[in-house]
Amino acid sequence: MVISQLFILSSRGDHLIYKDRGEADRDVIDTFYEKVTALKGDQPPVVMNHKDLHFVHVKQGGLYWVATTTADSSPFTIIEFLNLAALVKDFCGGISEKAVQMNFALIYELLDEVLDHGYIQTTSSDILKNFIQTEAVSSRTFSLFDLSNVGLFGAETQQSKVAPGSAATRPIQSSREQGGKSEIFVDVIERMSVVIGSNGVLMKADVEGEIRVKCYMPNCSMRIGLNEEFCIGKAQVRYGAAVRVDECSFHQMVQLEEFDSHRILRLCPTQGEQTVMQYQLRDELPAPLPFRLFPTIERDPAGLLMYLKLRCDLPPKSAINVSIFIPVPKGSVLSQELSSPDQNAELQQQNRAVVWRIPRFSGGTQLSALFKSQLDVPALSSASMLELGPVALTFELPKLTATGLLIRFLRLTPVQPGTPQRWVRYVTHSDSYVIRI
Amino acid sequence: MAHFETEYQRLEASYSDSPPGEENLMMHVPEGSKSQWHHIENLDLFFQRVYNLHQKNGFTCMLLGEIFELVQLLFVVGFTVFLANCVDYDVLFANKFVNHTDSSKVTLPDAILPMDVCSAHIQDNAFVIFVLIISGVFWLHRLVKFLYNVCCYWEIRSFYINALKMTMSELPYATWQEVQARIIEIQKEHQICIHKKELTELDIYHRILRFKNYMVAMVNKSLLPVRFRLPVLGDCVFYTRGLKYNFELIFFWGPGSLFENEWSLKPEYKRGGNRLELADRLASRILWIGVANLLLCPVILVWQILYAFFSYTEVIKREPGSLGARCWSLYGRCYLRHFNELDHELMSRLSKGYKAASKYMNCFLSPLLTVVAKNVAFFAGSLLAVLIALTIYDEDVLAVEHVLSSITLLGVCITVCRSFIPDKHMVFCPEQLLRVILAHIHYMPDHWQGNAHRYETRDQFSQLFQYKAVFILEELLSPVVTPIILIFCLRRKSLEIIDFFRNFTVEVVGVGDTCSFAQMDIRQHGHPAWMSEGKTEASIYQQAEDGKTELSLMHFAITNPHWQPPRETTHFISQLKERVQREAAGSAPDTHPLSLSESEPRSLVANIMADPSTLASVHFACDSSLTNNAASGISSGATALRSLSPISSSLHLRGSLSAAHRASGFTGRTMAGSGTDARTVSSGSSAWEGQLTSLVLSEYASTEMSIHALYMHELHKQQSRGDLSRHTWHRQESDESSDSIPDEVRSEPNAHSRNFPRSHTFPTTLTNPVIGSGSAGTAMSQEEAKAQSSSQRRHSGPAEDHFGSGGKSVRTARLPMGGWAEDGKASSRHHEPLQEETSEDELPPHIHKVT
Repeated sequence: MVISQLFILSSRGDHLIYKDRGEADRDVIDTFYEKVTALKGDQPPVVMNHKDLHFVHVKQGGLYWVATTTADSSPFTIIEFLNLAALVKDFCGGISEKAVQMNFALIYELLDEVLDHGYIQTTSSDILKNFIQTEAVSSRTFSLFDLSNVGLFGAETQQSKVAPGSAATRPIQSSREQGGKSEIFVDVIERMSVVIGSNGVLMKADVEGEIRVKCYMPNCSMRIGLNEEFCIGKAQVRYGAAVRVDECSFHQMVQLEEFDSHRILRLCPTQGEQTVMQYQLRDELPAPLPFRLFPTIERDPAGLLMYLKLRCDLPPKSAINVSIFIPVPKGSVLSQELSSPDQNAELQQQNRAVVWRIPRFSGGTQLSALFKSQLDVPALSSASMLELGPVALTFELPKLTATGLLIRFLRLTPVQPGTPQRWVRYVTHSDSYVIRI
Repeated sequence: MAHFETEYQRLEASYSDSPPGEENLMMHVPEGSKSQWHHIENLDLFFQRVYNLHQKNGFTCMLLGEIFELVQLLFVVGFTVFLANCVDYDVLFANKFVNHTDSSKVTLPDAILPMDVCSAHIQDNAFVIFVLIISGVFWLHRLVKFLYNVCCYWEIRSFYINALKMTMSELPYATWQEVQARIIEIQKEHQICIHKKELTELDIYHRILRFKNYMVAMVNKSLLPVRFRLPVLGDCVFYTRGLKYNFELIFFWGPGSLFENEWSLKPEYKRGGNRLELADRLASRILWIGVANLLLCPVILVWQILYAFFSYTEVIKREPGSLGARCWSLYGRCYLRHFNELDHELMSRLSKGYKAASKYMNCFLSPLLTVVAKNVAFFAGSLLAVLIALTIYDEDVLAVEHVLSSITLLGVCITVCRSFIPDKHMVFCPEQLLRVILAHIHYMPDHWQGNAHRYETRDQFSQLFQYKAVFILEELLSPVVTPIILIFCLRRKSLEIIDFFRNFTVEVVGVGDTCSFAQMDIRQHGHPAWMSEGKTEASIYQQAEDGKTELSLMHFAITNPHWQPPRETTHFISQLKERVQREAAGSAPDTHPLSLSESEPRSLVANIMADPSTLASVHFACDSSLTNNAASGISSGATALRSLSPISSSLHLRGSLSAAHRASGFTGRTMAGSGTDARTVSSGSSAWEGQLTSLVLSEYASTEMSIHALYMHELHKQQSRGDLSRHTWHRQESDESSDSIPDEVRSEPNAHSRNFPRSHTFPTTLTNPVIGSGSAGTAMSQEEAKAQSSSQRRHSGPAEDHFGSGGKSVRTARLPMGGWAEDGKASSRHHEPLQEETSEDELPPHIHKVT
């Protein structure tokens, strides 16, 4: 049960953080990186071994978090321990290559407390924060000329009603010094996996969701109310408007006395981020499909012509950061016609896919794109070469939950003197949204 | 946590106040994740600024204008001080000789004192320093305000650009209605106003005009002390900008005013309990403000004089006649303003009436003055002629002292005299002129009608339409008179004012506290003598005078065709429109026995049309065959202006036409080949075209409003004939809340206006007015029907011509406008010979057919 080394690599293989017991050599880092990148496919195995050393890694925030151990350790413990990433995030405010680089001193200090000579001590942020002295360095810069936030009518009220998504990415530790702004952020995040057949029939639709609480207040106890018509399992559907999930699970600290009667979760979160509840819904989509694609494809020996009409059925909401991946035959040359200038499309040669990006797509509208691809070597073209893969979409739907789950209220049980600010956001994003054509 | 761009929304305070599982306590911010325009707190100011920026034609124009104003201020003060202290007038007047070695010529620099002498002068003079300090403070205040305004309007500018998607360059070419439509559109997206899902036109108007509506209502109910009966001058009106400013200061925004903020009245003023105490408080506040005015009087006076001097001297020197010109007085603007009428609407209305009004005033040249003026002009002219002749003979005459000045003075004298001498070839018909004026200004006291030729009417009208010179004089006097009015007149009214604000303030969701008159609710504030008989439940205290509620309602409904009024109101509007339509269709009284009861006027429109003024009427028909017919809308708009000056029957046709326009515009569809649908053109992308069509549309709207105003006045006259009505004009100050005591009823049962003696002086003749009117109406309705059905567009010549020749048409220049140039049949271009009168009653109201 000893962790020999712990290191963090950037996606390009740079060494960001390295800590060991003093016995191993650093060459294993490069060995690991070679092993990870040598593998084809998206997800390399979590546990790999090299000689008698086992690498356990997770990839979070674009970084590899790797622990090495000798044969006698429990891999699950180490995988669980690598949840360290969340700890680092709580303390640093975010995990990105830049954040880790800027806060390396803090992270080393953290690792010193967490690991003692390779043995895991604690990962509780409540305990750890008493020992950590280093201030987190925030990479956000203050811009004087950010005039969009200066306002005399609109902006002042807007700021008090809406906080940017990045507001939750601040370190928990510095809250004391920065005026002790006590805030609670609640995220309701749902992931959609949808497969639509080439005839437009919905073949698979799953929704996985979670409620996450990020708390910047010490010692608070809160009650979170969900929709009262929230029901679990198929049998319980009472009204048409009910929010139904197939199953759900809760964090161990959540007390569920009031859940059955009032759908209220009671919890005392530690500082930092916790996933309070997870739920999933299989083979059903309560909301209409957010996107529909109407492709028209003409194939001829010289190339192919794709005319795609994409419709967003979300009024009055809208989708942002929509990207559409259209696999195309190898060696295509692209010419494109898009319906508005803020979109763009490019051909990614290494993926052999056209990526069409739409920064903002308001509901009820329809966008179209025309792609013409010509094959480099027309002689080799055959019907099979001109086949297209299924189109995949990634997107983010703000202020929308596919299941309809809402946070009714969030109450702090001992009423605090200074009202903490409570924020909520709803996001539905795509896990995989595949449309076969 | 993955990085999402989605924003967090605030969970509203809920933990302390509501039991578990109550209502949805979340603040949903639908849509607009990137916009900063939702939930604007002070919508009043916001909309006002949006409106101002539109009226001032965009940010750059406004900025430049304000900068120049600041510079002008500096210049006025600096130049005055310079003139007073740094000029050696002795040198200038050649009382003192300058010792020049080389030449004897006096140059301008000689007359200017050197710097040190000058500053010594200034430092010695305590008064100048006082003035400088005051104006410096004032200027700094203006500067700060300017900088603040720049920040605010910058934000409004970005609102225009980002939210409304209008660039500043196209702003001057967009009408306010377009801007407004966009605001309403984006409310759905951005949720500017929190309290309501959708904004209506009325909400926006209410917010922009909240205080103006109060002022209009107070003037309407004669609450403000602006009319005085002076021993020598008689009945007169004194209402200046300074006084207005003070009223607003006291009521609306000054410290301790009745309003808590822009949109809500203080709660204690809404309760009747301690009205006496509140009135006392208001009275003492008025007293203090009056005293402050009195103390500041010298400063303001000096400022007013300087300002008037610098703004008007140049004009007077350039065209001395401008002092004799007239302008609509401030009181007139308040009296004539509809509820919910924006500045530009009022201004365009009054400007249209200006020509007729000045003509009307010119009717009343005193014969005595004419005789005197003729003779003075004769003598002055002789002197001038001699002087000029001498000058021509030898230029040295000019060098004689005061010759140049006498020439100038004599010239001015002659110009002034000439303005008193009527043009020999001019003929006036006061009654008809007054009717034309009424078509534009929409309001007048009852007793004017039929008394247009009287001097009293003229005097009263001159209160609305005063000499510019009088206006300037009043402004100059204002600093002295204002404190007196405040202390002695307004203070006495404090209880009434408190009552007024309590009784006539309603809280409207999404708007705040607003004047209940501005709701234009016939039931609440209608006046039984103005067509709302049976519909109104208002007591006399609640009734708006002069049919203000009804006319305002019509005006608002016509200017904002998309506005959806409450049901009863819709009923009223449609009923009125239908009546006007029916009348316009030329129905003889007998053919519609059901629709016209005994008391109702007999074919009022025919009545109006039978007026001699209808002679120059212009017909409009649609003629799709014209190759360049696209612009006929413009030309007809232009002729509308022309045809209005003698109010013509074409109004009616136009009224229905415009109704058709708006109706078709309303459905948002272009009728197949519809030439009447100007919106088709505006859908053509060019801003220029859109501008033209919207101008045409607004022209139609104003004409339609004119018809309705005339109709309502006519109806009112007929209704109130017999029973004595009270009129606001001569209401005593005390009786506005009591019942009707007709003081000074001047209007003896007068002849119908149609029986107005058709004087020989009127240039045109109408041989058979009855037939003319009836058949003109028929002809029009025929054409109208034709216009709707075959989508032709044309306007023909005067009715008589057309009646006589049966096809002569006068066309004004047409411009190709693009968008729609259908190839219609050329044959249908000329009028068919007029149908007989028999067919007229089969004609349905065309509006309904079109939609």
